[in-house]
Amino acid sequence: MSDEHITLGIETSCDETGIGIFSNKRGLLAHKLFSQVDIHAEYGGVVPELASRDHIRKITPLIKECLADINLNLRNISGIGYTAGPGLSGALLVGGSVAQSLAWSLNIPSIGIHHMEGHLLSPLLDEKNKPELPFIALLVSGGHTLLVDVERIGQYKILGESLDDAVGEAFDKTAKILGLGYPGGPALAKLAKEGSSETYSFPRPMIDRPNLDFSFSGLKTFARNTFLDNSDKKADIAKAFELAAVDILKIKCQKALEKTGRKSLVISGGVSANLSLREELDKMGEYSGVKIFYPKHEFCTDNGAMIALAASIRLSHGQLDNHYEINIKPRWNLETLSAV
Amino acid sequence: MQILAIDSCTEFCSVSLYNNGSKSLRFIDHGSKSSSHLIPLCDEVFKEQGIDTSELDLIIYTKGPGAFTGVRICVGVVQGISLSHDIPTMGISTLELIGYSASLKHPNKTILIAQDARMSEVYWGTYHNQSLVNEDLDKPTDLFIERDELIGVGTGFKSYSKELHNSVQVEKIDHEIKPIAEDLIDLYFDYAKERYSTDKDIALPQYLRNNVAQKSLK
Repeated sequence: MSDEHITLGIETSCDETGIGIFSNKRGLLAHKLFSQVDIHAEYGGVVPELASRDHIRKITPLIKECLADINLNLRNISGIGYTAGPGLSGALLVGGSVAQSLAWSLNIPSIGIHHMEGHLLSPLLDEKNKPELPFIALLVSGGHTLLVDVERIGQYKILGESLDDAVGEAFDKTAKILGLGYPGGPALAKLAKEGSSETYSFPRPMIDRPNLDFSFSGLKTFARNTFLDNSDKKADIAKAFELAAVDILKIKCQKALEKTGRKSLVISGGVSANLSLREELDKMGEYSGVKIFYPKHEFCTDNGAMIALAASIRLSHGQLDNHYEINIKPRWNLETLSAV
Repeated sequence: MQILAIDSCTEFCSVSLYNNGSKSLRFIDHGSKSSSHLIPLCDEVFKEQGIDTSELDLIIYTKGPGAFTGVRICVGVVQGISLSHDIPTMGISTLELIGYSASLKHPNKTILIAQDARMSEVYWGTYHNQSLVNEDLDKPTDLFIERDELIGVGTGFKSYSKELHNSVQVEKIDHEIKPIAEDLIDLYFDYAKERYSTDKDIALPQYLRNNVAQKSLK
């Protein structure tokens, strides 16, 4: 196909090794993911050194599998994107070193992608229901809770963020308190379905503040204290926790939309798979005339497809890394990115 | 024959390119930041020799032990170049490379290599007659070697000089020996070519330190 550019995307910022292959003409061609959840489960959280060790074992075989699935070889790849940050430095370095050396050896351009930009753009992978710019993005995962005003790709203004735990982290920690294992966010959501909304009412920290920041650690502590006195009410506690967390996110989204006048809301990151959150935001969208967009379920968690997409967009606008140096950014402010 | 040699497992990082008898070498000694410059160094040796990575017959590299970050960048870069043109790879222990380099300067001697592994431990081994033995991770006070007349090399002799002095009898300590990629190529032609096979599947690190995580007590 003429003018077709195929981009390889590599994601290794935390505990998932993700590979994606994206065509500017045909959309997403393939993606593969290896999750390390089982490796870290017995430690009750992600162990950075174990994460790095597993990425280096999986990354090359996954790239080969991804290419083989669609009968492509590396000579068909015209650019490579990799997650340069934020994330675990050892894990980021694995993706960065493989991506840069591969791009250098193939003599093709490479670019380091901001992990949250990948998430933010992931609904664009859905060819049938793409959000139009500008929009508000709610990025909710185990590591981040951000409300971002997206004027255009690369031009991001952070409207609010969590001052303590990320919402996904609060879900996981509360699940751990309830004995639901690690990572327990999805298990907590499942248990919440069996709980009553009448038994407890949990606080909604910071919803009365005029700003758009969040706080979730108090909610988690409230869940712990409730559990200590009522250990037989796990499902009701899960229900009350989820209702409060979803309510906080909804209220802040509503405020962000009112403040900016935007008419589209994109929700992405691991917590965007939460069905209660989707239901509540859909309802809010209906009565306020705002269009709501989510990534496909498989792209809610970390993945290589979103990195391939973001890299494809940036490379097509002539943005690229210089000299193939392996420079990762474990801390990287989303607002410092250059606009496309 | 064209061979690329890469080492970034210590704070000293080097690459060498062998091109039918001609060799190019580049190195950098910027501490822990060295390995991030690995690819620009590769680019320089290829430009100097006027060849392309697609012409490579082999990539020989140090697989560790060493600083985890340096080891993984080294292996990551090797994986990427190898993947690009399906080039065979061969991993050599960092300690073997240091032992080999020291043996060129101190022929017929047994070399004791002790690299600072942090956490009050050393990666160590002895090198004699083109063989590395006893490769392990231990406290410097726990080393046990029956041989005399050892030549001591490696960063461990700086960091744990007193402890090593108490545990091993060393004839001489040579602080000048550093791992260098150029010697990897000589090591290959001297004996690795006949004795070692290329990596079965992909280039992978060798850590020696494997107790890197503690299970939750809860």
